[in-house]
Amino acid sequence: MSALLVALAVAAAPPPAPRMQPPGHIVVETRCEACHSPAGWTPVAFDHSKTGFPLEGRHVFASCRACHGSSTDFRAPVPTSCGACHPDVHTGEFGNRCASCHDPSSWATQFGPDAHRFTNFPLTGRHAAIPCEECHQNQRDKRFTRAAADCFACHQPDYLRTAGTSIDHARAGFGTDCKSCHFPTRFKGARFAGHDACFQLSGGPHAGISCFDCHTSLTSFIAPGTCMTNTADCMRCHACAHETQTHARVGGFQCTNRKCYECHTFTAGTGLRPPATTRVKR
Amino acid sequence: MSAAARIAGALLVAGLVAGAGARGEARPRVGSVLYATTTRLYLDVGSREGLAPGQAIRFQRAGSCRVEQVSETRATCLGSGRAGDTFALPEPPPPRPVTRLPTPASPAVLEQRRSVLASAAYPPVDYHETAGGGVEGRRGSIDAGIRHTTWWVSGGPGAWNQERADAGIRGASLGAGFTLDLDLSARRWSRRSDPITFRPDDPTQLYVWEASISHRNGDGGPAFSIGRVRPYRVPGQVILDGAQAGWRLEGGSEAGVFGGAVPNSVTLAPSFDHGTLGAYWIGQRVFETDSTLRFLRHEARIAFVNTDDLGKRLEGEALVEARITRRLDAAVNVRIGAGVAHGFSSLDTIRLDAVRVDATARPLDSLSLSGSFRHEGGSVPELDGPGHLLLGGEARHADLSAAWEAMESLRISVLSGLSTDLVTQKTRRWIGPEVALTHLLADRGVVSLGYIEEDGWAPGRSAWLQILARSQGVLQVLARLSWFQTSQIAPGNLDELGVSTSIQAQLGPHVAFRLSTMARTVLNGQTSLFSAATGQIFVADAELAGTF
Repeated sequence: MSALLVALAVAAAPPPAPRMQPPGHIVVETRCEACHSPAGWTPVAFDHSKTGFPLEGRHVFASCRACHGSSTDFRAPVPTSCGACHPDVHTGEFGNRCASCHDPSSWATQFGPDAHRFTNFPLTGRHAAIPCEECHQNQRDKRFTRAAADCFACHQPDYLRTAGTSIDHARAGFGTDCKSCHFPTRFKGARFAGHDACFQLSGGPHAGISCFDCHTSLTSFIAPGTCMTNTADCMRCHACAHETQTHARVGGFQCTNRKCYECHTFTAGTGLRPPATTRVKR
Repeated sequence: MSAAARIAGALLVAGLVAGAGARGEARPRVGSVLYATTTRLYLDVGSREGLAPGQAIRFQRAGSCRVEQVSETRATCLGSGRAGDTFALPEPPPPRPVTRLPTPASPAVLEQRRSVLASAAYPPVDYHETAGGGVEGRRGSIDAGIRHTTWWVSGGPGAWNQERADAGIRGASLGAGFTLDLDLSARRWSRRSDPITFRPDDPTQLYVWEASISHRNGDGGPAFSIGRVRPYRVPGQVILDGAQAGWRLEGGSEAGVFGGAVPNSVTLAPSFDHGTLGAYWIGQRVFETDSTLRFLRHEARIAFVNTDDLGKRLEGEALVEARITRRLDAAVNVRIGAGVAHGFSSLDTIRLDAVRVDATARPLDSLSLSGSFRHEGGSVPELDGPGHLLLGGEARHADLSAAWEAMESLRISVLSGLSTDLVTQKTRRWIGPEVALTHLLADRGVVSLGYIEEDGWAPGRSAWLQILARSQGVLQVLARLSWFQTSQIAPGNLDELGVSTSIQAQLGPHVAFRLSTMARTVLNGQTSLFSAATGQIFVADAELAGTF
């Protein structure tokens, strides 16, 4: 009976007065302390992470209206993509996921040589210490397109720079696939794998010497790997007096460059190897 | 007994019962954090439970705070913690002595007071936008910074050093609804060594991307920008020395035209030899909170563009971005173009210059998927040294990543992607996991460990260990140890070890200092053919930046 009376009392009571909405807000609860503090209406402290868009980095300091505009309904959907607020200075090249490169704290780019590995051109060796604009030259649109991932696209001038030297790449018939001989750390000091077929450089007493140590004169056009350049200057290191003495019993010995590598190729299984005592100390 | 008397009697009984129940309950002896912001915690207890300003609170899980302000039932606290954190309450204050209150006034007097209060006029407290509010409520900002960068390679000709000053002004009010936007950078190469590819004869360089005065009211009406303009939300449009003018509708939609001279692509020097003229449309609509389509933005442009790098072209571009429920964000951008080198009557073949698709989905609160696809069909010539022109740039790129918040402080991700150069048909692909501990040291530390397996024209693998420590808004320190192995990019496999560090320190409310370094060394392949000192590099970048 009492319960019925209570129910009747509730039913008979006039409807509660509508809760007054605070000016400047629409359809929001009036628990002011959820956002404001008695210290003043600003700054507003609202746990934005509950909205699905946590305020990270500099966003913490953004004013509410910088994103929500003049709307008084802070529950109305607001675009959350970066492009909704940040102008796209890259003319759309990278889409709307700015955070994959930019730091939300400073907008400074986080895209360094490590991240470049997630592209078609991993920055290895010296490439990791080159200013971006040396390759990505378009400053107007801040585009990062590049003509090609091919070595020669960038290093053609280096290829041409060998013209007139004793390792003139064009005359010697070297291809344009730079990485087949050169390391990305430094152009100087190449490793020509085909050289072992003529004269072993990958191991043995001549391992580690550079091209110019032997090839000091200009070559004519020769297909690489045919052992026909005839420009190796053995006598730069091997003194005739010493070699003549050590080859006293070798028939047909002559102290000329070509005669050395007619016998000494150091190629495994076929090339002659001089006694250790006759090797040149480097 | 009348009905009114019965109702009153029942209410009295119910009230007594409720009151007795309330007296019988023990007050909670623990308090908790209702919610938390980056610096402030909101507690569910107040002075009634014995809290007082300045009081130190230590949470039972981790973290602490100092009570800032206290009401009878609530309090704010400054410190670190998370919603749901609990803490022991101090002993309650001794009960106040009971004082007899005066007899209530008569109903007639109360009614009189009520009517006086009800008819009283009071000034409402309202939010007033500060005068001169900029575009869509922005009040503008100024960014400025000075910076020094050094690149060094062992065994090379020497270091490269650059000093630069950057400045940016965003939507600064000039009064009467006009705003100023500025974006520039002045750079000085104090040291460079041959071979220099980029502007070898210009050690001092100035770049101005934007220097415009705009009028763009959030309530609609005419909108324009004049000067060196980065066209406002015109997809894919290059910057221009001229004007953009349009009509803006309430809600942000806008239509208009733009035109002017196009600066040089490398130096940004003004040039009347190249120009652009076109029209644009910007539309956006916000839907109801509970609708399937929450937000839609669509932008388009059609333009004649004559630039130093691409020549005379007719371009059309469209961008559509949508938020579908709260689980999916997607954007599609398409650009088509045709050369008009011989006039509009002889359009070259229309080409698909670009297609870009981005999508981020959150099928579960703990799972997010993100992916993109980009097709760059336009051939982009680039100057590569004096008189050396490269043609190419056609490429495709796609990536897909998934992140799962397996536990509150554990995130497991899978990263993958591919990139193809359509000129040389060279492709690289990569995929691998990353595991991150995201809430270490009371949310101040993140440790992540990752591994990527790579395939394609330069196959290899890489692994990294990264540690991030931060004190929100004060200091952020990042250290990263990386290992890379790359094949087929040299006569032998190349193993490299790298260390990167980054420090960001907020020196004051407006000034920050940033220092980042990167060092790498080659682990193999060098000692036999080269000097061992040819495989080390070091890059350092220091910046003092201000935001006002």
